Amino acid sequence: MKDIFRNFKIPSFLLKDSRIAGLVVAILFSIIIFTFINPNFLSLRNGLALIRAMSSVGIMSLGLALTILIGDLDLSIGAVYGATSMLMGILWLNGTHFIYALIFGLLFAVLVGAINATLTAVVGLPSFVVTLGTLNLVNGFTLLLSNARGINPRYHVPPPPISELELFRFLGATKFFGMIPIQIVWLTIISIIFWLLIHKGIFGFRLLAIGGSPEAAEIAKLPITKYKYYAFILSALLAGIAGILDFSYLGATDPSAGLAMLFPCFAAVIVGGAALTGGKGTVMGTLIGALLLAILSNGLSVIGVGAFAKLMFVGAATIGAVALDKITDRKKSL
Amino acid sequence: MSTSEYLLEIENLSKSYGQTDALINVNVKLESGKVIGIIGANGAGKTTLVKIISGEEDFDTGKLLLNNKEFRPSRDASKVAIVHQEVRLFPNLTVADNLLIGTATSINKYFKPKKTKVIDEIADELGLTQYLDIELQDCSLVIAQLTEIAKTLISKNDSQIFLFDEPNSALSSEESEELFLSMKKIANQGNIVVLISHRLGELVDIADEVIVVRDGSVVTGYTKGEFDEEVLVNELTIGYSNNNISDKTITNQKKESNDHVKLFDIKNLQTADRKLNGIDISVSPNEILGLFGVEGSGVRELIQTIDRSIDDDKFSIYLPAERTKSLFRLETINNNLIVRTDTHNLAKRNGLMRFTHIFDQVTRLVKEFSIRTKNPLLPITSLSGGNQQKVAIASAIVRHSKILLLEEPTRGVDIASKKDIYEMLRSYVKNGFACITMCTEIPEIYELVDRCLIISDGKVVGDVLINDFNNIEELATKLTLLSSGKRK
Repeated sequence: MKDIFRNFKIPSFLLKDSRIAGLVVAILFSIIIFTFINPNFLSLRNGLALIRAMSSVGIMSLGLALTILIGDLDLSIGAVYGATSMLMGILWLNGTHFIYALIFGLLFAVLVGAINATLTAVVGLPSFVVTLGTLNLVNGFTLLLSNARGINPRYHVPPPPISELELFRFLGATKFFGMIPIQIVWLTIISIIFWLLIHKGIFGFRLLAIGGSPEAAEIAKLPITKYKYYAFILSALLAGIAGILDFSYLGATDPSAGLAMLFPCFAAVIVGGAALTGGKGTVMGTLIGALLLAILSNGLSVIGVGAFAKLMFVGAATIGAVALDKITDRKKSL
Repeated sequence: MSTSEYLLEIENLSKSYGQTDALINVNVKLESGKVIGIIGANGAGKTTLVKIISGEEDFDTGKLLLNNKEFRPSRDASKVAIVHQEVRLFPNLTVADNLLIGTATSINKYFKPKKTKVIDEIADELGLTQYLDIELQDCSLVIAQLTEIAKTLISKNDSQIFLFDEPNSALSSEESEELFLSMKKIANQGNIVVLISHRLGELVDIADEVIVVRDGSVVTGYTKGEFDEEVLVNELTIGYSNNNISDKTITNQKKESNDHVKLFDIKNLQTADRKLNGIDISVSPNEILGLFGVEGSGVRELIQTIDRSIDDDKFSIYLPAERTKSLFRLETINNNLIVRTDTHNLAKRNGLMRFTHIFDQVTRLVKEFSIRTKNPLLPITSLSGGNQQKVAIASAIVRHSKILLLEEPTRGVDIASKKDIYEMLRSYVKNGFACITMCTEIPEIYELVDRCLIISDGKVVGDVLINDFNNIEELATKLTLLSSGKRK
């Protein structure tokens, strides 16, 4: 037994980043507790369902993380999530080809991101105010467009062409080998791209520099405005992608879908170790943060505490993670 | 002990920081009702003396007597009031509210305190009554300064010693007059007013006595009538020959600048707020140009305005004095060194960073500029101040811009790093580049600079070649005289 411990090596990325190490411990701890209460928790089926369920929060959090890393924030992602899928659905059901409707929906997301960036970086308004505004602007637009009614392409009269309906369902509802949901694949692809962008690319190098020391970045003449455009546009675009994938998975969407996603996304990024002041945060942390929240949410469902208690738990966990970080940070500096 | 007529007596006061003696056996006697000027070159001990009187620092040996009673300012802060150089007030509150803040007593601490008679009286005395209901941000600087003084008078109504640290560096001459008048008033009520100022002409006008601090001692005291500006300039510059400067060996390395070619030539530079007023400035290749001036002369604005007027960082690159602005505090040494370089130096075509290339480059830079670190991948904050400053300057140098614009390149830097930084800059300009640096210390100008412009009241008042001076004392006399700029 002793030999096992002696030969056990802690992976180096855990040692380097105490936040991620803490999250891994928290995840293991919750898995043990939930399994103890209900052994069904630790099944492959539940595991895959859980990761599937976190994938849209995961995708949106990665986009949101960009705006937080650069020292801003984006409150409009939930509204963009709903608007993109609703706009795409309505265009499609009114005779536009699915592909064009999809592209148009995503272009709308890009437009919202560009507006956020312009008002923040060019006009110089605080991103909190700007995106709080666009949150309501976009959500109002979606409600207006849809007459506040949800849509379900399968039962729509007249029905869309079968081939397009199949393509639509393929995007979010496919299961590879009969068990791996395609949303997990999308999340993996996007995560790898973001990991390359942020941790291996010049994009992340400059993004973190700008977010960490905006004054120094200005003196060094770094392309601040351009990077704010990148961050806000990618944030909105990923929210749109997440919205469309969920629309496809569920087969239906409604105009306020996504508004409830805002908090879990922020929670994932913050629990994952990003600083709201900018310049600090990782892709890995964000994903593990999203995973922890998904585990809590799923586990609490499995043991049957009900949706309201679940909300309270997620709120407390978010504050707790940040508070713990602050306390250990203070200890370290003493 | 017999009772003396002096309000404040300082006897055999000494203070040292580690190995360095800041003050040695200082003896001063000051009468009440007087305005006292304190002068001294940078590092002479002037600041330490003021800090001891104000109670910000404790002394090692000796004693202070106030009204013939021994007292320790660091324990009993109520006797000394300081009016700080930078105003510490709330711009979004009215003058009256600024005076009221902090006056809440235990009875009414949950309510906004009411204006008291004392406040009205003090406001009246300083001529602030008509401004009481105006927000401070809409008032002129002199009103802000007077408010600061009034606040000090209110909170420290037992005080008998008033220290003014460069109180008028941002004021016009009429505004300064107003301020001086109120200082005289304070003194006349049986107090001592101590004034620290770079502007020697003003001291001649207003001070009843001037104390000269040099090499940690009070060397001379002058009373009214005994001194004029020339006397004070001489006093300030005597000490320089004793400074441990490696003299002409360094000066010989300086490049003979060729005046025919100009890298850069601006005529009649002005700013809207008139802090700069028609400045002509030019620099030749291989030249290090110094800009010298006291706080408030416009010299800081000048270097920043030059940076803003050239918006091409291939041509010029600017490095501010504050390291929070010149360095990325959350990043590693490695990243700080290369953050200003071109995209193609940092990344491949596909956007991925060239980590090994960058690391090789950084390893070279660390060796070339003797940056003392075990590993450049450590955070920048792991370095000492001097080495951080070397990184900041190196990060600008690797950009290979034609002109380097620096602001106090060795502020708060140890002697060894200073020498390294001078070396860095000198080898930089050898490649046909130029450097414009704002300096506040005369030894730095003597050691580093080829030519120096002296700035006063937003204008160039002197243009000197450093090689024309035989020793630093001569240079110091010239610079001090020109920059102290007599006010009209």
